[in-house]
Amino acid sequence: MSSAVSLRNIVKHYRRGREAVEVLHGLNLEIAEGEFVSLMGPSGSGKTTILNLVGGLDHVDSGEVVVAGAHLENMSGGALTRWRGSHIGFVFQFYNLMPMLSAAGNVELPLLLTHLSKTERRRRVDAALEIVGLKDRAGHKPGELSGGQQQRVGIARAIVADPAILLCDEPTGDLDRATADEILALLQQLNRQHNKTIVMVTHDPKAADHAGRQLEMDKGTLIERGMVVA
Amino acid sequence: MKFLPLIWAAVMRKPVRTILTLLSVMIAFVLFGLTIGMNATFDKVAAGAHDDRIWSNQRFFGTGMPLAQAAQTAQLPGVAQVAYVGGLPGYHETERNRAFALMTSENFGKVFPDWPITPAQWNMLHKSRDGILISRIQADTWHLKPGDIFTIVSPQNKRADGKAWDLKVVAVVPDVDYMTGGFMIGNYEYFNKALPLGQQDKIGQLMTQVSDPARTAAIAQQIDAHFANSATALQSTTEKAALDISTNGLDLAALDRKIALAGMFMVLFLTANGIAQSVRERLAEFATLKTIGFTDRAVVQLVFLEAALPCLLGALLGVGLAAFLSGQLPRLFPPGQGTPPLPTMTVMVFVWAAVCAAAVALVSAALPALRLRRLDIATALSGRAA
Repeated sequence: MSSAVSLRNIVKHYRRGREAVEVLHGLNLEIAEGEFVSLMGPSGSGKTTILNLVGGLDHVDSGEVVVAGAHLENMSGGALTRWRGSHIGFVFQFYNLMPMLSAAGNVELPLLLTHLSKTERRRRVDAALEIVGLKDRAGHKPGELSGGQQQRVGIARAIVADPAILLCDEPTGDLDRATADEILALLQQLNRQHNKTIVMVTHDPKAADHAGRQLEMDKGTLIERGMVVA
Repeated sequence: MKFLPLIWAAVMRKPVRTILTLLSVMIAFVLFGLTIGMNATFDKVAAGAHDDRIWSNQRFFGTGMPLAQAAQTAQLPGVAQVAYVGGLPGYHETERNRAFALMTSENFGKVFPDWPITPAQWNMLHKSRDGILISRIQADTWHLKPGDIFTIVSPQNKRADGKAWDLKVVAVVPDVDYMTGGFMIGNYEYFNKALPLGQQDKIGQLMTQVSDPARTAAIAQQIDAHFANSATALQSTTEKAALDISTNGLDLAALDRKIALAGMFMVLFLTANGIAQSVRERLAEFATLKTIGFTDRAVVQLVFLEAALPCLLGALLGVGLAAFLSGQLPRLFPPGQGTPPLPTMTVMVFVWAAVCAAAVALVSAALPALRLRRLDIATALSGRAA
């Protein structure tokens, strides 16, 4: 199975005032296509930094970031943005939906950057909402939906352009247990039935249990917690 | 067009703020429309001025110029012909209804061939001693049609027989741009002979047509020099200069432009503040858009269009309201008194408004757009961007 994500000798610093803090020290990570990986660890351990690097939202100080066959460390800002639009779907903890747009309007956003016709966009939006079980709520605005439904809309937005990789940053962090389990089941479904590679950052061990592979970050270093059967 | 729902959603996120901004922009553009419309009127009037005509008035206040000055002026070198007018001011029925008729010499139509009066209409006037030609505005004001009698009571110019002036409408003619309140034209010959002997042979204004338009200004000076030592010294002005607002002391056109510019600065500060606040409140939303693939260019376009929407809509509504108000302004003036120059809402006024609105949107969106270009997505998504 080929690599969906390959991080090699990654070093990343952040500046806090005058001080440079090294968050990742020569980190290596390989994620195969179709894997569902969870990334756990305490705050400040570098989980979100890895997610940002894989998603092309941040640059490494040194090392190689190869995602879906593309070397991100060499890409310019504009090229990275376009690449993100077609290769990566993002799922956020607080959904990050546009409050004035309907569910369908939010899901359609990534497609506005394509040359698809309105009819085709509409078809894909319907299909994405169907997958997340919200087709009947397409006309509702985020404020009219529950937290779980909003996260489903967020997931539909992430998959509507059919990216190979989904990056989820605490996707259940703002949900109750039952709703969180529904969302995690949906992510599992996307992983198994639609072959999406998923990298999920979480603080929740129960959420991490839904992943096929669990990784733990500790002070900038990755610890493999072993393969589990999801 | 596919971004329109996104832009509309952003604009209507705070509807009260948007509506107040729109109203402010609209009011500023009413002012803009009226002032630039005034300049359009000035330009139109100046463009219609003939370069071969001179207007001469009495230099100092008096009871009028001797009729003989017209004949003397006609004898000066370079003068083609001279027309003259006397004024018949007064009122119709009650003193509130002020009226004014311009009593013209027989050759007035030849000196002013550009006035929209046909030779047949001039003939009708000349054949009817007490006849008047009346322009459309005046006809509408007084509800007159050909054949009607219009009576002017003139305390200043009483008839020798003590009667009021009964003037017969011989034709209704189109208006002239710079006669903004319309006009009535009668026969000077009839007017002059009907006055008491002591008031006869006085005129109010001389209109001289020159043979060589290149010498108009020189001939105007020549006319003034000729009558410099007479009891009624003249002040002559070329028609071009008389109708060019920028040469008449206070340059109203320049003043208008400054008022319009001040209005635009008001709109600029208002819009710039509004869009900056709106972007500041939605940094996480813009970061999300950039995360899911919106390029810097697309985000900058969104911000510009978000600023442009209230500007362009406000400009359209504001200039539209200015056009409506311009049409209503003549109603504010009592009939017969004439009106000051009124704004003309030409296509160019609307074009200028659109250009200014787009420029204001561009400038006011510039700083927020720059901020979004530099936005660090990871920081903004984490909620740390201020």
